[in-house]
Parts: sequence; structure tokens; C-alpha cells
Amino acid sequence: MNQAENISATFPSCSRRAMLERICLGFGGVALHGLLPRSANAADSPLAPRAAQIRPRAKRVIFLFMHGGPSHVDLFDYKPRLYKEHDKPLPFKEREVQFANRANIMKPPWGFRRVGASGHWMSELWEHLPGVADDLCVIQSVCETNVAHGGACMKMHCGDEAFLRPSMGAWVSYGLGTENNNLPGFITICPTTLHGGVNNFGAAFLPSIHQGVPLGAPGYPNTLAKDARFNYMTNESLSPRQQKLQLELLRKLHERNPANPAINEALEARIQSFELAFRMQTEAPEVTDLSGETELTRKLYGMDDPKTENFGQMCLLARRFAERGVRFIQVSHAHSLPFNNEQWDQHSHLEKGHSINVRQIDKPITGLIRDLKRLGLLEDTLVLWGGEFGRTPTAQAGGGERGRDHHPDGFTVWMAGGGVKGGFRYGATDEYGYHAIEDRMTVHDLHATLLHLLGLDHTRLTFEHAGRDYRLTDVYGNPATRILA
Amino acid sequence: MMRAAQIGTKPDGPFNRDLPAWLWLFLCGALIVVPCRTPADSPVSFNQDVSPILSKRCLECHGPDANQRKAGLRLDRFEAATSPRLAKPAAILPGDPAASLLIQRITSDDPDKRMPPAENSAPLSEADTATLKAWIAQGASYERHWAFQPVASPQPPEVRDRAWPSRPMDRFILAKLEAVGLEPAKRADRHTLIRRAYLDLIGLPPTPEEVTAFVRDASPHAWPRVVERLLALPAYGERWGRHWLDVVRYADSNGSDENHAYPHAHHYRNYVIDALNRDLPYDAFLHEQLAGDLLDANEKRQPAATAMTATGFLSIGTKILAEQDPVKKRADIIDEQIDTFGRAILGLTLACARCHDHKFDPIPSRDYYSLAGILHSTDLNDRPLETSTYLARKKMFEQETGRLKARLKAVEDKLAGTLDIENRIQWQAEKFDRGNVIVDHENYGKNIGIISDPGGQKNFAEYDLAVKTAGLFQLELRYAARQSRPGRILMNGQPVIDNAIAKTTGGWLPEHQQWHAEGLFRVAAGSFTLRVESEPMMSHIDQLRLTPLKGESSRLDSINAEIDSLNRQLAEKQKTAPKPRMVMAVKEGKVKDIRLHVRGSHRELGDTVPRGAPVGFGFRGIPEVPPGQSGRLQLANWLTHPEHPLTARVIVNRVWRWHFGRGIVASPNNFGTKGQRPSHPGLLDHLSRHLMRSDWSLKSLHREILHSSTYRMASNVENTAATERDPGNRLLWKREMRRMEAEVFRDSLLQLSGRLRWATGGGPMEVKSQDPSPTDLAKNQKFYEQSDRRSVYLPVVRSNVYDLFTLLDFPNAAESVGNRVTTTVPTQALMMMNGRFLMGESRRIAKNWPAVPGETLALSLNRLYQAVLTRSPAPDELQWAARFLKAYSAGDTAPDRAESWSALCHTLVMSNDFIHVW
Repeated sequence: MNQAENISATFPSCSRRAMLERICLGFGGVALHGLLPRSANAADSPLAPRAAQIRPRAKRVIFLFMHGGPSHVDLFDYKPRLYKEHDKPLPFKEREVQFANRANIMKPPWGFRRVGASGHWMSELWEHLPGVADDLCVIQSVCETNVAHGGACMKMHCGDEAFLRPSMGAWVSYGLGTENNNLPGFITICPTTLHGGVNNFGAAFLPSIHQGVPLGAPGYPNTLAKDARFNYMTNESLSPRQQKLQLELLRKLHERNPANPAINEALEARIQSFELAFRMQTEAPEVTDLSGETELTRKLYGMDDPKTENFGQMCLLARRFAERGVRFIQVSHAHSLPFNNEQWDQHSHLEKGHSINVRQIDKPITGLIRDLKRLGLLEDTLVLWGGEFGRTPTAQAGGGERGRDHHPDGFTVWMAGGGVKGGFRYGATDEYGYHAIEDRMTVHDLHATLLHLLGLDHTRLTFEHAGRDYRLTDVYGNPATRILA
Repeated sequence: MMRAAQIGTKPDGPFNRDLPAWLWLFLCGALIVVPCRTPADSPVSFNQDVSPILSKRCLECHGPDANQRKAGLRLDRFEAATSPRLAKPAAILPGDPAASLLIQRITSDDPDKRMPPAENSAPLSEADTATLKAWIAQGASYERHWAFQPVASPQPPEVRDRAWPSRPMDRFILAKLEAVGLEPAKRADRHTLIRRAYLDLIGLPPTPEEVTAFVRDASPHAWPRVVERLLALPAYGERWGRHWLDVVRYADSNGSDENHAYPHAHHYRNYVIDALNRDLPYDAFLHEQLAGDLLDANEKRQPAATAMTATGFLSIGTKILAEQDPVKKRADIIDEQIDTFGRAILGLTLACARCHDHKFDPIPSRDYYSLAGILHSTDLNDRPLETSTYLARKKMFEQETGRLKARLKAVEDKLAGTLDIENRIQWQAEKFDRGNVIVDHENYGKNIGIISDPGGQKNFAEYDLAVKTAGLFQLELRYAARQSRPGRILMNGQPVIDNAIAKTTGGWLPEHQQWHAEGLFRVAAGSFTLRVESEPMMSHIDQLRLTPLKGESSRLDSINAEIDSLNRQLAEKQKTAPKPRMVMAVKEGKVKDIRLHVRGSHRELGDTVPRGAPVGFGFRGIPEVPPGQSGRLQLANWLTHPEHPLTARVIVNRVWRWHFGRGIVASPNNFGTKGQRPSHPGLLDHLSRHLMRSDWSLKSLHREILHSSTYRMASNVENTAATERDPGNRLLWKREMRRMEAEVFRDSLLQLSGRLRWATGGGPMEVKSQDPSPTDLAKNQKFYEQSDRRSVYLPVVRSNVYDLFTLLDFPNAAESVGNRVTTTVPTQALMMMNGRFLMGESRRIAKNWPAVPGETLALSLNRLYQAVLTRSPAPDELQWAARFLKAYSAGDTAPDRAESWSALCHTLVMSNDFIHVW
């Protein structure tokens, strides 16, 4: 038991003690110093579950990241004027910093309709999602400034567009620890190497144990779910029995060392990390083995259809990690093969590209929400759906099939479960879906809200680095408490 | 209470602070022989005791930053803290803690009054409160922050044990130990010492022969000889250069949003390794890195042409390349430069002052923007190194091509006899009337302008021309082509020359441009259209000309043949043109002072700030920067002024940190008020003076440290009293055991397996950094695993650092790293247990140090242990190993002895004994 929880860092700057002190930062830490038990125990682990600072509504997060920038005005944010004023110029000046040149207003290629008892507007593209509309809390006023994928992705994931900062998953792992010591606290399924790449699930200056562990090699194009494995989890030539012999010998060699307690603590932690690794090796394959899932479940996620199979499998894996207490699970839809490989980034061919993208995720995410609900997990699992920005209501200038440019100043994300109001709409953009004008929510606000739902006060979740107490929200952010259930 | 009296165990956390000396004595009075004194008697040091409390708990709202200041109260200055404000009494009344508002507020029971505010933080501890009270009672004197005071020349303190110190520096360590009644650890045994010296100085383990030689060498010079030998090896620069590369966030790719490769960055890395091996004085080292391109050569320095490489320091940082706002992009790049400069060289977090005056340190925003002005006046630039060798070769090349060109000219002059030069029409290729080609003035057409293809297509350019008199005309084209890209010429839609523009000229660049006669054709008087086309690619065409024939065409043919022949010779010659080395560097840009950015925003500008060095911390500034110069040169000189309080201290502390695992100041990148206090301030200054006295020689500093008794203490010692009083070993009562860094681990394995290839230098990176696919990443991984070079030469791809390195805490190079962390995580263990690299090297180690059939197992094991662990196995270890080997292949029908032996090697290199430096 103790061994399992004794994943620890050692001299010089990340001793267990140091870690615990850091985690307790800000409230009574000074008093705590000196009272820490010397012996290794559960509370010493940097990944031990920790009490939250405010009443937690969610225990874990599944972040469905739509890489490339899904178009809010085509998917969720219904703007009748775009149809009426199709091909006319916008009646106001566009933002100064643009990614590409823009043309006139472009109407969505699809109609909109109201869905669910709550009457959320959704594009006709969505076939399955309307079935869970009343679980969705749709935030239509996310507003940011960076118009390029890299900066916007880094902002969305790490709270800063220019400098390397810990990702939100790492902050959540740091703030809450894990409930399952045989699995990492933060897992990212089939991540991409584009636009910040591994920085988007990195730990930066937080202890590295909080960094996202990829299931499947990060890459571009990203690994398919069926090929995704944890790295180094199997040995090509040694049997488990032989590895056990190695670990026994390691322990014997270690125990020869004289009993200098300070040294021994570090050395013991290292030996225990090998023993834990050995157990992970046994348990992790079980989590990713879907053979025990029923046909019905596989269908629910669309795994019976080649178009939805890949993303469906990723969503099902996310559910299995959630069940086992992983704190932060990211699923990235960064793959719209075979049409192209530009994710949601339809500067041209919007109609075709978005049709394919929605087709690939619609059933799997709906299935995920239904499944979480069925298992009673939705109430304490926060599902967050969104991209790094939205798309312009205007068409992109230039020839070819029509598409839209990047648009950060008003776009849509949605949440489900985890203590948010279902069937609720928060914030709004103007009549053209251009600027967020009501309840503007910056990414800092979004992060503050997410932490709040997990029971963490974003102003108190800090880490001292380079002479400063750093936060996920820098010096900004307010939680949107109106969306709390 | 006992626990509270422990000396802090953590180098850079928020609570790790030595207790004030008087409190230590107070609390431990019962334990140690020093008589107990009351706090009020014992002097409280502002720097050691008070300033850390104020910084941590008060200054965020009551510090230097006027914009954040609450209630108009400022506690970082004596005058401000002790003056009444408006209707309120002074916060501090020197001599009267009870009447001081500060004490009243921090001890108040009323949650609305209590400071710091309850919503932000806990009340001050009793110890901190007592410190502040005693300090006020003693007069509340302020001092300048320790790091901003001049470097002292302290006398090594007197010590009771006169036998122990080997060098004066040992007395600083011993005096502190004696003061609390502790003894230094015994000297480490010789096996441990030689392994320590090798791994520390060159990052590789000693061979069994080298160990034996040292262990048997009874001479008092044995140790100095080892030290000298190691310092003289090129492997020293490879090991210690890598330390510096941490500090300057060295990488071979951009990282961040777009991970472009930096194809020239490795020259900077090689420069650093070379500079350390040459023992380039640290002051010159800094000069070159900040202003290498502006320096005159002197006895220390290289000529500017090569020292320019060093300015890679300013240019190898991460940049947000896709930022669409160029002004913000520039400001962010400069911020990254200032951040690295501040932390790496000054140990100051200057970048905090981008948006506001520094909250804790005397660094006003103006200081930030005076530095930013220097960097705004400096452009990032890939520059050619015009070394003397290069220039000599270039001169010779120019002479040779000059001779060929002269001959060509002479032949061309003969054309006047057969061509009517006076009626020639000549025009620029890019002045076409219709066409789908691209015009390039930048990359291939600098100063000339060319046309070429935009990618594969049917390329064409049409020119509307007219001649007065009909006749035969010769068409000539001036173009450059490394490969033949033939096309054809049409007149009014009819082909007139096939297989035109088909020659090669030695390259694509302006210097490869040559005139070629394409052929003769008849032109009628009046207007016509000449069309040049090629598919799918087009040579780089600069100009065209049409000249009427006036003599015999046969004579023209022979002249053209001569021209052709000379053109070919020139093209061949061009291929041998000497190419300068390109380096990632900087150059003087458009010089300008810039305006303060209010709250860091480039859209809200304040006063113009003159270019200069930071002056807020009290050291003199630099004289006015001459107009027309960025100020980098002046900044470099300012840094290494003998009275600069930070430069020498910061590097001495780094060297100490790399030798001992923790700095005298445990936060090597932060010497500000939020950083750690030096554990041995006198020692830091003593060594800083030593460095400056020895002309900033880092090797001299190594010698001083390596020859000390402090360095040679044992690490694995039991000392209950010391463990109780100083569990974190802040006072250095023993050597601190350390885990190998990633590179040391890998390089040691390669050396043991016999696969390490000895070679200095190294070329550009051979892995893919930008948008790698899983296949690319697998290839990258294979490259790393198969490489036989020392780790310092492996490419550092930001965001995709070799995972063996990352798992062993190699930094991602996003920012200056002063303290590498040492983590122990199960993923590290998984990599060791299952990774191909370790398995493969273990097999090779097993082959290098085999179980020899026919000799006893003990003999084979002894050889293996000597090689891998630098020691002999104990009897119980021999037994365990024998049992392991037997059990490993138990049940196998045909046990493979080699397999079990390599599994044993694999276990040994994973062991705590191997991976730690004792």
C-alpha cells in the first residue's frame, strides 16, 4: 500500500517534503514546515488525493479538444443575419490583427434548429448531440486575442500564448493528485505535435510527475487509437518472472547501503518506483484492453462504423480512465483524414471539412455523455468540448471552395456534467457572431471556472518559480459562478 | 519545537529559510554548549532574518511597485516605513515594537485588521513575529539587499581544527560547523573519490586501470594529478559546457508554437565547449556572448569574425513564430532575451519588470525598458563568419574567377565584329508583359531580380518588342542554373529555338549568372511577341538581349563556342567557391530608445527610456550609449566591471552548485530578495574574489574547489547529531550524494559498452523537429538510440527532447535553468527496465566484461563490478549474483549464459550504486 503511493521526487529540489510543502502553499504552509512526518506514508506522495479548497463539484475532467478551430457560427451560435446578409460586407471594421484576408459575410451551409427541452440552437449537422442537449451548458462568449493556432492552443492549454507554462491538466494533477497510483494523474490520448505540441500537456516548471502522459506517440498526423500504447510498458525479451528477479536484486543491492536515513529515503523511493512501475506494467494494459466492453457499448461510441471508430475508441478509453480515477483526460480530435489533415481548420472547403469532422465526433461524444450518465460518472466528471478559437462569420478572401478564417474574439465551448447547469446557455456574441458581448469569458475565466468546479480556488493554486508565485490564470480570471448547478 | 529548529531542507521553496542565528541559538540552547541568549540581546540581521519575511509576506502590497501599493504604505525602505502617513502613525517606530502599527496589525485578533489579509495568506508564524519584534526593538535598521552590496574580501575565519582545512575556503565551511558543534565527515575512500572526480569533471567513469593507478599512488600529488589530467581533457569542456548550455537554454529548434529547426545553433554549442576547454576567462566569455560581433580582438578574445558565434546566446531562445502582430512578436522575443540575460548572468528576474516595477526587487520598469532599448536596437541574424582563413580562400577564389572573367570579357568584345551592338535591345526578365512566373528580388535575385517557376507548372513569360529593321538576331539570356532546366523560345507563337536555357552555371545565386547565346533567328520589322517557356521548372533568368547580326554567322559560332567554354569553366570554378560558416547571431540594428510599455502593452506607451543597464539595485549604470550603437558593448563591459556586485558571485555560485548539487545560494537564477540567502556569504565572496584575481579563470576556480577538504568528504556517513540538526546538509557536514544527470548516465553506459566515439565538434541536427509524424518520431528515436556521440552533441529538439533525457530531468530549454531537478517517477523506471537503449548497452557491456568460461564466477564478477561500480563485490553480493544467474535461466531447456549475464549487467546499471555519484 505504502509502496504504491510512494512515487516521489528526491534531492535536490523536489523532495517529498518539498513537494508537500509546495502543495500546501499559501495557507499555513509555514506552520506545517517541521511537522511533516519523516516516514514515508500516503500523505507524502505528490500524487496523493488532496482535500480541495472549496466545495468540489467535479472530481475529474475529460477535455474533448477540437484542434484547428471549429466554427461556432456553423455549429452552435445561430445568427440569422448571416443568412440575410450573405455576401454583403460586415457593417463594422474587423479586428486589426488578422490571420488571413477576409471577404464578405458568408452564410452557414446548414440550417439551425432548436433541440431538447432547453431549446439550445444547434446546426442541422448534429445528428446525435441533440439527444443530450439538456446536459450541455453552452458557453457562447469565449473571447481571446491570438489569431494563430500556436499561440491560441498554448493559451487554451496553458494559459499563456508566448511562454512555456504548465498545462491545465498538470495544474489539476498538482492541485488534486490522483486517486489511482497505478496510473498517471493526467493522460492525453493520441495527442498531436503541432501548435505547441507536447508543451500543451507539459508540466513546465511543475514537478514532472504532473505532466500529461501520452497514450500513443504524439505526432502529426497523430497516432490512431487502435495503435495507441503507453511507452515502455512492455519488455521485448524479458519475462515478468525474470524482471522480478532483477527487481529483487536491485532491492538487495540497495539494502546494502548503510542506514544514513536522509540518503536512504531517496534511494528507497527510487527502488519503490521500480516496484510501482512493475505493477503499472501489469495494470495499464488492462485499462486499454477494450475486449471486455459489450457490443452495445461499442456501438454507443460508434466503434462499429469506420467513420467514427477512431474517435469512438478514444472516447471509450477516456471513460475507462475516468472510471479508474485519472484526474484529467484529454482527447484530441486533430485528425480529419481521409479528406485532408487540417483538423477543424477550414480556411476553404468549410462545408466538406466540417461535415466530415462533425460526422467523426457526433456519435462518439454523444455516446460518451450517455455512457458517463448511465454509470453515474457524469455528475462528478466535467466534460469540456472546444477548440482554440472559432471562425469568422465572413468568408476568407481568395479563390476556391469557401471557408472561414480564425476568429478568437467570440466563440463557443460547452461543458457537461461535473456540477454545471445542463440545458443552460451562458454569454452571447453580437448579431454577426463576431464579438462576444454578453458575459465575456476569457480563457483565464474559463480556467478559473474549471478549477472552481474541481474545488480549487484559481488564485490559491500557486507554485513558486523564478521568484514568483505562478498560477494557471496568471493574474487574471474570474470563475463564471452562474453556470454552477 | 525541535522540528521547528531544523535548518531548512529545501533549496528554493517558499519556506526554506534558515532560522535567524539568534533564534537557532535560543531554541537549541538546551542542546548545545553555547549559552542561551535572549533574542533582544542577539543582533538581528536585516538581510538574513528580516528581509526574507518582508519579501515573502508584505512587499507584494507594500513594496517597490507603486501601482500595487496598498494604503500608501511602503515597507522596503526605512524612511517610508518609519514616517507617519496622512492620519496614520508610522508603521514602524524604531525601538518600540509594541507601539509599531506593523506589529499591532500582524498580531491582531481582529480578522479585518490582521495582516497579511486572511483571504490571501496565513498569519505570520510566531518565529517570524518574534524576529520582527526584535528587529524593531533593536532600531529597525535597514540594509541594502546582500547581493547588491559590493563583493567583500573576507578573511577566512579562525577554526579550532587546524588540520582539516586544505584550502582557505575550507575554513568558511568548518567555522560554521564548529559554531553549532558539528564535525565534517571523514574523507571519502579513494575508489569513491576518483569516480566522483571523473563523473564531476568529465562526465565519464574512470577505467579500472585508472582506478587502480590512483588507488595505488601514495604520492601527495596523486589527487592534484588527477584533477589536472581531467581539466586538460576535451571531455571537460563537453561536460561543463553542457552546464552552461542549461543556463542559456540551448536548443537546436525553436520549440513553442512552430518548432522550426535551428540549423546553425550547434556552432554556438561548439563555441561554448571550446571556450571552456581553452579556459577563456569568464569576463571575455560574457563579452563575446553579448557583443562578440563588436569586439576588437585582444589577448583574451577572438576576433569579432569568430566571436560573433557567441552572440548565439541572444538568438537561440524560443520565439512565437506564428504571432501575427509583429510588434508584439518583437516585444516577446526581447522579453525572452531579457529574462535569460537577467537570470543567467545577473541572477535577477528582470522580466518581472515588463509590466510593472518589480514587486520585490529594486528593478523599476524603466530599467527593463532601458535594456529593451538595447535589444530593440539589435537584430537577430544568421551571419557568415568571415574568418581570416575564409577571407584568404575567398580572395584566391576571386582572383581565379577574375582571371576567367577577364578572358570572357575579351572574347565577348570580339562579338562587336559580328554583332551590331549599337542596335541591341536588352531588358530585365522580370519586366514581362504577360506571364505566370514568380519574380524574386530577395532569395535568388538579390540586387538583380529574377524570374523563375513558383513550383512545378508550365512556366512562361512574354515580352512585347519591336525592331526597326528586319534581319537575323542573336538572342542571349542571362541566367543561373545548378541543374539544367531546358525550355524553348517562341516568336509570335511559333517556336524559334528549342532546347533553350538548358545550360548549367554552377548554382542558383546571382554570382552564378551568365550570358548564354541561345541562337539566331529572323525577326521582321515592327512589333512582335517573344515568349520564354519551360516546364515544370525554370532557370533563374535575370536578363535578355537581342542583337542584330552584322558579320558572318560562322564567325559568330566560333566566338559563341569560346564563350561557352569559358562559361563552363566559370561554372565549374563557382562550384568550388568557399562558403563561410553561418552562425545564429545578432547584429546592430536600427538604433533607437524605446518607450515604456504601460502594463507591458505595446499599445499603451509611456516615456522614452534611454538605452542602458539596470541601475535600480544601486550599482553604477553605464555611460550614455553613443548614438548609432545599440549599447551591447557597453552593457558587456558594465557586467564585468571589477566592482559589479553580481556577475562574479552568480558564476561562482553556479560552479559551486554544479560541483556540490546545491549552490551557496540555493536559487542560482535568483539572487533577488525572493531568492535564497547564501548559506556561506563569506565563502561566496572569498571565491568571487579568487575568480577575479585569477583573471576570471574557471579552471582556477575548479582547482580551488577540488583541492579542498570540503570537496573530498564522504557522502555515506552516519552522524546522528548532524542529521538531527541539519538534515538538509545546508552547512555541508558531509558530501551530498547525487544522481547522475541524464547525459552522464548515457555517456557512462556508452563508455562501458565500448561504443562511445571520441570526437569533438558536431554538425547540424539530423532529426526532424517541425510537425513530426509518428514515423518521424520513431526515426528520431532510433537516431538517438544508435548515436555513439557524447550526449552534448545530440540535437536538443525543444518540446521533443530525447525521452531518455527528459525522463532523467534534462531540461526542455524553454528558459534558463540554474537548478536541474532530480525526480524519481515510475515512468523513469519503466524506461530503464524496458527501453531498447538500456537493454542493448547492457548486452554490449556484458560482452565487454564477460563471464569467462574456465575461470571462477567470482573472478568474472569482480571484473564486472570494478568496471561498472568502480569497486569489488562483497561476498554477499557474489552470492546474490550467482543465485540471480541461476534463477534467471531456471526452467529454460537450453539456458543462455550470455542472456543471464547481460540481464545482470542491466540490473547493475539500473542500481542505486551505479546511477548515483557518491
